[in-house]
Amino acid sequence: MIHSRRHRLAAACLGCWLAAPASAQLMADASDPLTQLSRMSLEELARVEVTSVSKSAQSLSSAPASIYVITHEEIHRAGVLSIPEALRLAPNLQIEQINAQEYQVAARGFGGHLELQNFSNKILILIDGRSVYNPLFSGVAYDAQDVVMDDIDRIEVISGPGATLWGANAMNGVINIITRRAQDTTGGLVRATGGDQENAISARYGADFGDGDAFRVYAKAFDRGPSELESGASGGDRWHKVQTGFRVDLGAADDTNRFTIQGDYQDATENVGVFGDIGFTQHDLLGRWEHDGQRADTRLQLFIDGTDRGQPPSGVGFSLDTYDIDFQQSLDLGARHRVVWGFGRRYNDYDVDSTPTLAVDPEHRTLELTNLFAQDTMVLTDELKLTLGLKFEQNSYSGWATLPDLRLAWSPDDSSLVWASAARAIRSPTPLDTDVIERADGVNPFLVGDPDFKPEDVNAFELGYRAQPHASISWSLSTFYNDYDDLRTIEPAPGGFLPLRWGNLIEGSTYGVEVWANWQVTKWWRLSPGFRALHKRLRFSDGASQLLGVEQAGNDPNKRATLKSSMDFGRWTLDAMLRYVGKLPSPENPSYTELGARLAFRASDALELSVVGANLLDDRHSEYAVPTAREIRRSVYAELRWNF
Amino acid sequence: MALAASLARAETFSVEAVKAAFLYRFASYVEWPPDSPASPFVIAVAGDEAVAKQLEALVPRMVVNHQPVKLRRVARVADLAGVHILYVGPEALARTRTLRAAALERPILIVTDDDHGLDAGAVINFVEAQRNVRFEISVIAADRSRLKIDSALLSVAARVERRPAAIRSIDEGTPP
Repeated sequence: MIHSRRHRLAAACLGCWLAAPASAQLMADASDPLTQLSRMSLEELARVEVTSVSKSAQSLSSAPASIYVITHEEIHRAGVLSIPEALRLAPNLQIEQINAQEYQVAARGFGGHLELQNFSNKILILIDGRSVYNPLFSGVAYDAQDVVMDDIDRIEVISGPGATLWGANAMNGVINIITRRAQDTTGGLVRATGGDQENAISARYGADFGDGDAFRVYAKAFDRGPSELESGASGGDRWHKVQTGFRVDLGAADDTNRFTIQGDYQDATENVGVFGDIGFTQHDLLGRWEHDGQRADTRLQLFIDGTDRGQPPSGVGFSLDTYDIDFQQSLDLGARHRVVWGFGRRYNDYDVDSTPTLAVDPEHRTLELTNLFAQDTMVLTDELKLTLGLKFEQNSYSGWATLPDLRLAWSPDDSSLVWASAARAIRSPTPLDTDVIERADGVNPFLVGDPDFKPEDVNAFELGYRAQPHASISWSLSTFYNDYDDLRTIEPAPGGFLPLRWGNLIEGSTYGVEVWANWQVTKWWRLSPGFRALHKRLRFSDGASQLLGVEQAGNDPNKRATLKSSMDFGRWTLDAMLRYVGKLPSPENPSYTELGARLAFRASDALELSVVGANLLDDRHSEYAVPTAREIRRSVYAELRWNF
Repeated sequence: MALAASLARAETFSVEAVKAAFLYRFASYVEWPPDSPASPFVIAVAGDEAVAKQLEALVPRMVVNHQPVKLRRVARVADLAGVHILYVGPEALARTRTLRAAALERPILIVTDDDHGLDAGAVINFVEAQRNVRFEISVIAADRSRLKIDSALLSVAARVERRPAAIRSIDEGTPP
C-alpha cells in the first residue's frame, strides 16, 4: 500500500481520514460484492450484469466529515471563471457576491457583517497546501485568489471544524483547492471568453521532460465589468487582472521521492468609483518534498507569499509577507493504528499604511504561529474506526491553544457510512482585534483594539450519514450543533463610553443540516439537489453592552437550496444550476432565486465551443446589503476552449 | 428471501468493480517472462480513480502466484518499475502516450478501455457489451511484450486479434 498512500498524503488531511477505511478493507466481509466478483470464473465475470455509473458521479467518500468534492469536470461543465463562482457548486457553503470585486464565503454561518468590520473569518482556504487566509484582518480576499480553472483537479469543501489538522480559523470549514500535477496537464490549452460582463483569456502549456518529470506554465488575464446600482447606473467597480505562474513536478528515478515547485504572480487594478483606481500585487512560491518510505510517508513543504495592496476608500493599504514551513509524517503502527503527526511554523510580516481615520499600532510587526499535532486512526472492529487528534497551536496574541478532535466512523457495509464527531476550534486574534485605532470626526479615538482580545471559540458536534443505496444514487446528510463562546462584540470604555473597544461577549449555539444527493437519472442525465439550513441562537454574555445586536457576528441566510442538472447529448452537453438563497436578516437582503446554465459543443477532441449564462432570472439582483454592495447583473458569455 | 437478497446484491455490481475483478483475475491467465519483476505483484492504474478505489479495496486480500498483490496509481514512467499489469482508464489514454510507450518496452500487460485500445498497443481492451463487461485480446501485442496468454482467457474474450492492427484496419477499409 506504499504507493497508494502517496495520494492520501498529497490530499493532506483529508488523506488522514481516508487512510483508515482502506486498511479496514483487510478485514472486509467475505460476502461483499468485490470478494464475490473476485471469486467468479472468467465466464461468470463476463456474464455479470453491470449498472453503469457516470464516471464523474461522486463516489462515496469514507471521510468521517461533511465533505463535498467539486470535481474538475463539474467546474469545467459549469463554465465558471473564478474560484468563488466555482465554490457556489458546493451545497455546504454559502456565498454572497458583494460587488464585482468582493465575495463572502462561509460554512455554517458567520459570513461576516461588513458594515461592522466583521469578515467571514471562520473558514480556512488553501490553494495547493498554501493558506490564503489573511491574518491581518481575518478573512479571505477572493479577488486575489485565482488559478487556471482548467488545471484544478478538485476542490474539497469540508463544512465543520478542521482545526486539529489545519489549525486555527478552520472553525466552521476548510476549502482545499488542489490543482493537477504537471504530468496531468501536458499539452497546450487556450480558453478565450467574451461576454457582456467579462472578457478573459487563459493559456497554459505543459510538457514532459526527463524520465516522467513535467512542467507547466500559464498566463491569464481578464477584464470584469462593473456591477450596478439600484438605479441601473454603473457600480463603479470594474477591474482587471493579469496573472502568470508555473509548476514543476519531479519524480526521482527511485520512485520514492517527489518534488513540486510552483509559483504565481498577479497584478490587479480595481476601480472604486469616484476614488479612482487602486491596485494590488501578489506573488507566491511553494516547494514540496514527498517521500514514500517503507513504513512512513513524509512530506515537507515550504512557501512564501507576498501581497501589496493600495489603500481602499475606507480601509488601509498594507503589505503582508508570509513564510511557512510544514512537516508531516504518516505511518502505520501495527495493523490497527495509522498515525499522522507533524509540526509547522509560520511568520506573517506586515506593514500597514495607517490613515487619519484608521490606524494599526504598531504598524509593522511579525506574527508567529507554531503548531504541533498528532492524530491516530484506530481500527476498532471491521466496521468501526475511531480517530483521535490533538493540535497545540501558539499565536502571537493569545498564546497556546489546545485543539482536540474525535471522530467515529461506522460502515456497516460498503455502501453506507455513519459518522460522528466532537471537536474544538478557535479563530485567533488579529491586529484588527487588538491593535486598531479608529478615529471619527471630532472623536479621537472612536474605537480601539483590545490587547486582551481572546480567541473566538467553538465546540462542535456532528452526526452524519452517507449512502449509495443504488449504483445510480448517492446521498449525504450532515447535522451539526455548534457551541460558540467569546465571539467579538463592541464594548464601551471602562468607566465611560468612548473610545469603544472590541470585546468577547457574544455566546450561543447554532444548529443545522446539510443534505445533498447525486442521481444518475438516465445514462445521459444527472440531477444533484442540495439543501442547507442554519439556525442561530446567539446572545450577549453577562456584562455586555449589547450594542448593535447579535447579528454583528454574521449576517447569514437560514436556508440555501440548489439543484444541478447535467445532460449529455453526444457532442452536446447542457448544464444548469438553480440556486435559492434565503433572506439575510440584518441588514436585510431579500431572498432570491437565480439560474446559471451552459451549453457546450465539442467540435473535435481539441476544440470546444460553449455559451454560458449567469444569474439569468433577473436583470440584476442583490446578494448582500451594505453601502459597498452592488446589484449583480445578468451576464452571458461565449467561450472557446482549444487543446493542442 | 435469500434469493431476493442475492438478486438485489447482483444488481449492485458496478462497472468499476467488475473491471477491477477482471484486472485481478487476468493475472492467473498470463505468464510473465522470467526476467519480470519479483514480488510483490503490482497492478498499476493510470487515470481511473474509480477502478483504482475498487482495486485498493480488493487487492490487500489477494495473492497471485504466491505473491501479495499491490495496487499502484501511476502517472509517470518512473512509476512503472516493478509493474506487472498497467490499466489505463478511458479518459487517460490520450495523455499517457509517454507512459504507454515506456510500458511497451517492458513485460507489462497493458489493459485499456477505449475503442482504439488495441491500436494504441494494449494487450487487453475492455468493451462494454449490452449490460456486460467484455474484453478483446491482441495476441500480437502479447508476443511483443513477451507475455503468454492462457487459451482459457482467449476463449472468454469477445474478440481475439491475431494480426497487427494496421493490417486489420486496411482489410476493413478503415484508416488505422
